[in-house]
Amino acid sequence: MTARPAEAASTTTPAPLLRIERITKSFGNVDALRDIDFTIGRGEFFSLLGASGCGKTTLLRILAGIEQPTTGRLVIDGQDMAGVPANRRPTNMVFQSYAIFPHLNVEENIGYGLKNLKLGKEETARRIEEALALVKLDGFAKRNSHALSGGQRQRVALARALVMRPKVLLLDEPLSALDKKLREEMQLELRAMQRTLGITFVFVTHDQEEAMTLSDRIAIVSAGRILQIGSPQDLYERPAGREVAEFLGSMNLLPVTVSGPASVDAGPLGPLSAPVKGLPDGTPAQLALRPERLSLVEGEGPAGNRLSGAVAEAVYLGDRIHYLVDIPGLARPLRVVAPNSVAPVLALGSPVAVTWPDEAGLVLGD
Amino acid sequence: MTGGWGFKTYAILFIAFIYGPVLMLPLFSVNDSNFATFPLAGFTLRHYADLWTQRPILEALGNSVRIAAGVSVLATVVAMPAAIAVTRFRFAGKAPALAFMMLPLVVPSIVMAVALLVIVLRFLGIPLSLWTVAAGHVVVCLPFCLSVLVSRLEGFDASLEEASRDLGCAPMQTFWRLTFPLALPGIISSLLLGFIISFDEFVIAFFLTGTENTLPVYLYSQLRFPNSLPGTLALGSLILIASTLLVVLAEVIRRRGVTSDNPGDI
Repeated sequence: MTARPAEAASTTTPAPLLRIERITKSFGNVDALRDIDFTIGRGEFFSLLGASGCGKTTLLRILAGIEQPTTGRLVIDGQDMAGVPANRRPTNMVFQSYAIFPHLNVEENIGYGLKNLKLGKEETARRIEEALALVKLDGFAKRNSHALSGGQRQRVALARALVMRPKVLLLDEPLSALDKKLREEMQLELRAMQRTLGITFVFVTHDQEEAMTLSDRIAIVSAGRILQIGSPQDLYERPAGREVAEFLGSMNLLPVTVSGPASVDAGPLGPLSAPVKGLPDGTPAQLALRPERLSLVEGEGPAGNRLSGAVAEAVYLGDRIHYLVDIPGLARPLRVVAPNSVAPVLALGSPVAVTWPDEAGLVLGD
Repeated sequence: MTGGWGFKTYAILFIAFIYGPVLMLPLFSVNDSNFATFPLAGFTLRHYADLWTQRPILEALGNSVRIAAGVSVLATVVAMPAAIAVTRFRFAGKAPALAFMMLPLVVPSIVMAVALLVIVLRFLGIPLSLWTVAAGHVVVCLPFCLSVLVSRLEGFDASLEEASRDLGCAPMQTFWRLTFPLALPGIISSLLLGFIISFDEFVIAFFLTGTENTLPVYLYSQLRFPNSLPGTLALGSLILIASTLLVVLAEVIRRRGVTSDNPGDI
């Protein structure tokens, strides 16, 4: 809809379109957001990921101008948003409840904001038609808003916002009310739409898989703070701390003490090798191990990082097998995901060794 | 429901008790006699025909209709911003403000009437007239209009108004393009309710009127004259029918609004 995609693609790191500078938000004595400070690039698909009540929706509403920050500054495309009300911002929002105007039909809903742009009859009609086609609702123009399914309402909400050609599209958990199949379909469509339109998307979700599927970058939000911002791969493979590590995907955590630049002491389990970054010797830390990076070997196994134990649980999932392995001296069993191979599923109680290459281990300070 | 026999009897008696006396009114109004007694003498519509020849009745009716129309509009217009404030904003002193506006509901109308009389005559020094009656009626109607509008505005999703703002509508545009059409069934209910309350109100009108009468006050004044009783009955029947129609209309409008399953809806 805009001529931006080429522009966005020409630079490796997109120029910041949104600058969020030290924003805080308090409701009475409750701090909903604390010192939020980051930028979002032009044409980026950016997700705010966090549990419910973490402040991600509040941040989105501040971007939209529906809420005002208590302190801090918001700049969109070089313009300070202080004192700019929601109706004059270059942002549009897809609400979680969709907020379809019940007294208007599909066409009137989509044209609601266009009236304010005073484009003239023909241009308005053309844009509505274009938006309907974009969300695959051609032929629904005159449909009463009551007669729409959940998925269709979602598409109307999306079209109603996109037809305004915003610089930033804000999406507040737009897919959470849809069933799984429809949700996955919409995810693909959203991603494709964002790429062709080149509009910056800021997407709020509590679903980590959804965030990883869609986003260029993700901000992990917890208790009003941003824990880490990065690409899905960054966050998964190089979490900055324990909370992020546990939030994204599944993670085994072993309490250890740093004992050298490439080694940690796991107490009763003995010394283990792992790259240590920025933590001095003697620091208590967690050795983080992704279940899919661990291997199971029957019996003793090769030398290197190796913990011996017994299979406590085996869940056959077709393409892979989930194991829980009890390790003497470890409070919680290790989770191991093994790809399904010709080897038979290990029996409960079989003695096994859990092994992994040094670089699979991640040492996180507490 | 099984075993509801006793309950049904109770319900029938209950309805008979409530509506029986009221239904005597139309019954005696078509009775060919000047006395409201059994046995009935025969069917006639002359009491109704006589009504149209009595100037004072028509004048009183005209006064009442004009007051009720003005009051219903004024009370609804005043109640609307209050209802929006109560349902949409958090502000200090909201609960006391709401309680204050609802007060006329629980203050006995005689107390209210005397208080208003003292204010109008002593403090404001305004001569009593139909205007003072109308002002008093606005006070009485306000809590009813307010509660109808509040329940209506509470019913729809606040994000609808946020969406309207987000799509470029300033607050006033949002009101006219979204809030007003969505609240319309409530606004109509409020108008009808205000009209009926003002039209039926007796005590305040009795205290605050000057030389002109509203219909209820006129009817009361006529009870002293036995000859005018059948006319009173006929007029009462007409008011009963008109009120019933208005209430049914208000309910139909309200019902038509709730048929959709949309949570943010009418």
